[in-house]
Amino acid sequence: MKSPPASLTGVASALAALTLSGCITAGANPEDPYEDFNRQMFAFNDGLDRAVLEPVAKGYRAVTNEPVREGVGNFTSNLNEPLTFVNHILQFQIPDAGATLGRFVVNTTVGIAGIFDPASAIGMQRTKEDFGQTLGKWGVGGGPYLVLPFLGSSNPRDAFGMGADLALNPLNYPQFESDAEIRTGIAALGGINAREGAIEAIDEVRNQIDPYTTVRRLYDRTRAQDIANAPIQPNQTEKLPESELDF
Amino acid sequence: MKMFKKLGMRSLATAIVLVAATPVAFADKKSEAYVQANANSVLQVLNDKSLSQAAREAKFGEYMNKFAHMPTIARRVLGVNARSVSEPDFNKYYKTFEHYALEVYQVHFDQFRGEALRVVGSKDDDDRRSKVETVIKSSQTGKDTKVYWDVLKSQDGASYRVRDVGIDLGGSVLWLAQEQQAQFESFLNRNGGNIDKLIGRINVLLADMEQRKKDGRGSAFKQNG
Repeated sequence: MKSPPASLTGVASALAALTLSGCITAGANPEDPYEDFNRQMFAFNDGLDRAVLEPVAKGYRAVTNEPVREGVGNFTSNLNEPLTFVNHILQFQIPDAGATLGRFVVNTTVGIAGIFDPASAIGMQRTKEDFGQTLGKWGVGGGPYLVLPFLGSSNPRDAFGMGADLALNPLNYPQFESDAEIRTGIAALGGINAREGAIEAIDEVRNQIDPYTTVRRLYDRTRAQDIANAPIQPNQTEKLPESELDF
Repeated sequence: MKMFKKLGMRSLATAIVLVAATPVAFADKKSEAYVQANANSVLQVLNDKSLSQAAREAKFGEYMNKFAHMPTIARRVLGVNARSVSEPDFNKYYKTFEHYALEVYQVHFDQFRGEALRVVGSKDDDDRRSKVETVIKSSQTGKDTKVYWDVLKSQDGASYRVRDVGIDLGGSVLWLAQEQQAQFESFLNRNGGNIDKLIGRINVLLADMEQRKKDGRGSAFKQNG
């Protein structure tokens, strides 16, 4: 059996190195203490996306149709079900773990390797859990917002969680011919498929006054909701200034 | 023993009636009526094919200004920077902001044009402020979407104004003016509070929106509708 990948310590080491080298220094914004570094990474990732990922995603859209893309999405999502199952167990969400296992079995067999999603059709709804959410459920705070090169929005807890997920996913362990290449290929296909689905949404984000702030706020809210498994509503009951009340 | 039982039952019944009669939050029905009438007027304008695009935009702007009082929103989204902006600078900024905000609202409301909005409830935050919950069908998803209205009552109670609109995105509410405020504040903080740079940035986005309309990409007023 393969030993867990080194990514777990790799991410932590990279973060430590960046901090010690002075690339990440805390700034004045308490909501985003590493804003300067984050914005540089955001700009880097955005440049890379515009140059490579977005054109590939548009090309993928041009040569495929919706049923094909849906099938690819189902296939890659199905491969994440074992990881979701493990994290449901770690969060003591036993009924959800059972449902996830059921989904995986039904979709892998009846759904032909997960290309189709008959499980949703019979009322077994998809859930998605990762180790970052598990840590959040255990009471571990996210820490400061971070934008990682290539990977995008994160925080120390979720970055650690990403590494842990590689070790926790049961599907990462079976060995077969060209297993590394196949896993990399599937991950790439999943990434392109996901990027295709977000073409309009990312276009919309780029047309905001400050796309970086939009993405940061969206990430914070989405992660909080994922951990709580419930909507988180922004505070709309702040005290109004006198000027606004004066009518 | 029987007497004590009777008293106990009567007290319990009284308690139940009192709790039922006391609303958890006093809901202002006038704010609900205000939203119902004005929001539907705004949506009808977007769908009025008898008007030219320019006329629809002008009318939409007119209704939104009455409904939401754009100068107050313009000042609000500047956040703490509003205190240090001079009147001439604010007026310069307002012209650009109004155009931009109306374009943004058109894009968000365009998915609902032609549909009728219905009020499903409201909740008071205090004696002047309430949240009105409405439901309207989205042409993008074909499903009912919840839209929330943050409504402020005037000091004399005679009039109302909408200070923000929240659109439900799969369980989470996106408050449009609140999001704009976060972005505007962040932009100004990083540009030394320079209002001219903010105006410049807004103008870049407006130019892009105009180009998208011409190209037929995600425009508020599609050429065939």
